[in-house]
Parts: sequence; structure tokens; C-alpha cells
Amino acid sequence: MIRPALGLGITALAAIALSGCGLITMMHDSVIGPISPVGRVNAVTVGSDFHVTDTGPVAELGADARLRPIPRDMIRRMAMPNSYWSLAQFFEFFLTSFSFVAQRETHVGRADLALPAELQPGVPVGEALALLGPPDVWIRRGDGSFMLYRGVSDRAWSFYAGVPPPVGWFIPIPGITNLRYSYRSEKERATKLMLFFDERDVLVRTSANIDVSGEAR
Amino acid sequence: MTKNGSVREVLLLIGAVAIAVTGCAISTQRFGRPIDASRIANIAVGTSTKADVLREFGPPSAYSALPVVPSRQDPSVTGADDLLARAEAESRMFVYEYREDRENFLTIILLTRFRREVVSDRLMVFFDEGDVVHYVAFSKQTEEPAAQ
Repeated sequence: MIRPALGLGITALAAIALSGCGLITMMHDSVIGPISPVGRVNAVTVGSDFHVTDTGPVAELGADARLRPIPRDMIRRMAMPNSYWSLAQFFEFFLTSFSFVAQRETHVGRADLALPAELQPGVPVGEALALLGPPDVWIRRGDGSFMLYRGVSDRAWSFYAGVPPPVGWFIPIPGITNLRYSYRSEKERATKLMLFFDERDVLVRTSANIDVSGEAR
Repeated sequence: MTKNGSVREVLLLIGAVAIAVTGCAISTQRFGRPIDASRIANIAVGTSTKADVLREFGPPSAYSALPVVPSRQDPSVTGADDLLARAEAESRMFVYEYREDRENFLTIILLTRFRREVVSDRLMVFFDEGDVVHYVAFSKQTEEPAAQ
């Protein structure tokens, strides 16, 4: 008769401790976290790759393949998902519990930015605008002006191998969820084209990290 | 039960699990109103006025001005005062913008793939001191709508 009650008690205690932000978890982490065989429970269950801004905790998890029991900002995701990806991460646990490879691509702006051959020194600003369209940045000075065209692409890839936290709860080895290997690769590339004009709005110089064919250098 | 039967059941189960844990989604969020590029030809530089632009395209997404930075040198010495005043006067513009935020998400058991693309069509019309069109700039990144 005592054993089931003890089992229930231990289970309840473990559930409270593993809640991620519970009192016991926080006390455990701050007092014996560094030397505890289970490690810092809060960091494992809630995560640690976020920073706090004036609008609250912010985390960029788009390319994160980590297996975790719940998204870190679940309530915000439920209440006001600001993009599909944000909402999808709310369902991540249900959809991708066993998905340990994640790939993300983001493209913003002009992927096909190219330097037109007609764009030579001496071209007036109106012709440059007709060739390239509206610039992303245009700063004018009394003695000249500067235009910037840009495109940004971001590719990320990540891999995670380890015991998922929910599975670790059922393995009676302390700290088993800390045994993990993760790899993350992120590459951001920007194509930029800068145009400099004199006080008469005539092109005097161009500078770009793209060639005429549009290949980024 | 035969051995063949149990193998088939296991394969069916694996197939069912694979289908159950596979998901994909495609979404496109649209901001603003598409810009009718065919009407840009009706805007003539040096002739059309602010009223003509409003008549063709309606209210702009933004009415703003380019940042004009004063020269570091003393303007009274360089004579940059006039140039700066002209630059300020020619920096007012209408901005029309239509943006698409395309996202697609795919998860197949062990792999999650996410792709996001943000593209926009922008039309900028600059005016001179007399509210006459000075420059027109247009770029289209979204695809043409399919023919009906």
C-alpha cells in the first residue's frame, strides 16, 4: 500500500521539478545546478538560447533541430503567432519530436540583383532609377547622394543527436538528457550595390559585391 | 497468421506511421494592394502632377522624404545651402508597396525543412518643388498573376 503512494509522490515531485520553470527546478539549478548529476534542469527543458528585450524574451529558433518537450514561449505562440513558422513551432513537439535534422532558408529582397552594363559613370539619377528601380536606401547630401540596393539570403542547417527530454524522464540514469551532440551551420549572404552621385545627380561611381551576371562575390 | 501476413502488417504499420508524422504547409501573407504596372506609363516625368499620380494609383502606402544630410563643410563657404535646399525640395515622394511573405514548411519523420521568401513590388514617385513628377522608380519581385 505504501509503494504506490511513494511512487505517485516521486512522480509528482519529478513532474514539478521538470516543469522547467517551477520553484523546485529554479532552487535546484541555482543551488546545486553546477554540480548536480542532472545538470541545469531549466536550461534543458526550457532552453537557454534566448535573450530578453524590452518586448520580452526573444529566441530565434528557425533552424533549431533540438528536441524539446514544449516550445519556450508557448503561450505567446498560442496567443499571437506573428508568422506561420512561429505557429508551427508551437506544434513542433507534436510534429517533429523525432525530427533531428532541420533546414531553413530565408530570402529577403532581390535575389537576382545584377549590375546592368548600361550603368556607367555619367548616367543621370533618373536613368539609374529606371534601370534598377527604387533603392533600399537613398541618402542625399547637398553635394551628392548615395543609393544602396541589397538582397539577403540566409541558409541554416542543424543536427541534433541525443536523448529527447521526454524520453529521458523514463530512463533512470541521472543526467541522461545532457548526453547530446548538436551541430549548427548558418550562412548569411548579402548582395549589395552602391551608387554614388555628384551634386548634379550624375553617377560618379558604383561599388558592388556582384558582377555583371548577377553572381555574388 | 503466416509470416508473409505479419511482414505485410509491419510494412503497413510503418507506412501509416510515416504518413502520420509527415506534414507540410504552404502559406502566403500579402500586405498592401498589388501595383498595376501598366498604369506607370501614364505618369510622365516633368508633366504629371501629384494629383495625376493620386488619380492613377490612389492613396500611397507612405508619403515621405529622403533623408538629406548637411555637408560637413561650412555651407556659406561651399555654397551648399542652395544645393541642400534643392535636395530637400526634391526628396518628397509617394511610396506604393505590395509585399508577399511566402512560407512553406515540410516535415518528413526525421527532417524538417522551412523556406521563407519575402518579395515586394515598389513604386516610388518623386516630386519637385512644384509637385510635378521628377523621378519614377518601379521594381517588381512578385510574379505576374496567371492569365484568366
